[in-house]
Amino acid sequence: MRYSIKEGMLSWLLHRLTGIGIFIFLIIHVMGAIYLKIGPEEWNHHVELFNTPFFRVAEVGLMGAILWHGLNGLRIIIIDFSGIRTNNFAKFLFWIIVFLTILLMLPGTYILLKPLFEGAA
Amino acid sequence: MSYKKVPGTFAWWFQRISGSFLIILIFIHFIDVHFIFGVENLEYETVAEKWNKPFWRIMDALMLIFGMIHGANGIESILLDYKKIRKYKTYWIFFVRAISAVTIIIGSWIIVTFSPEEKSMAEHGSSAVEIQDESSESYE
Repeated sequence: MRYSIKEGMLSWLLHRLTGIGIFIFLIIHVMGAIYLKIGPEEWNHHVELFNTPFFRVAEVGLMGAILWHGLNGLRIIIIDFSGIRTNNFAKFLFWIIVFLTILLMLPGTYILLKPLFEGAA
Repeated sequence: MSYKKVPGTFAWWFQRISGSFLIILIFIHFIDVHFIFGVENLEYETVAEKWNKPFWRIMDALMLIFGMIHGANGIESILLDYKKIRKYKTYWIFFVRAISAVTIIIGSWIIVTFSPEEKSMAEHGSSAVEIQDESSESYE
C-alpha cells in the first residue's frame, strides 16, 4: 500500500525554495550593511528604500519564508529525534506548522502593512 | 554501526544545531527590527545606539556566521542532488563556500569595525575628527 506523499513533497520543495530565497536575501542584506561603513547619509538613504510599498510587501514574503523554513526545520528535527517514522505523524506536524505559519503571519502582516494604509510609507 | 566518520554526519548535526539557534536569533532580530523599531526607524543613530551594546554585535555576528554556514550547507545538499552538478562537485562546493566566506568576512568586518565616529566625520568635516577621536568612546 502506498500513501499519498503530497504533504511531504510540498514541505520538502518549500523548504528548499525558501532556503534558497533566504540565503540570497542574507547575502544582499549583508552587502547592504556596507553602507554603514560608507557613511550616515548613505546608510539613511539606503534604509529609506525599505519604507516603500514594494519592500513592505516583500517583507511579508520574507517573513513567510523565514517562518515556514524555521517551523519546517523544527518539524524535521522533531521527526529525526522523536524516532516516530510514520507518515501520519509527519503529516500531522505538517498541518500544525501550516496552521502556525498562518497564525503568526496574520498579526505580522498586519503590523508590516499597517503603515501603507496610514499613508506613512 | 561504528563511530567511523560518515561523510555528512557533521553537516547533519550542524544543520540541526545552527537551525535551532537561528530560529531564536532571527525571531528576536525580526521582532526587534520590524516590529519594535519598524523599517521606517532604522537611521544610522539607531544602529549606532544598538551596536553600542556588545550584546547586539555578538547576536548579529552569531546570526551572520550561523546563517551563512547553514545556508551554504543547505545549498550544497540541494546542488548535490543533481547529477550534472555532482560531476563538478568540487568546483560548485568551492563556489558556494567562497560566497559564504566572503559574506561572513564582510559582515564581520562591518560588525567589528563599525564605530559612530564616522558619523561625526560626516557631520563636522574631517577637521573635527582628531578632537572627536579621543572623546567619542561612549556614543550617545
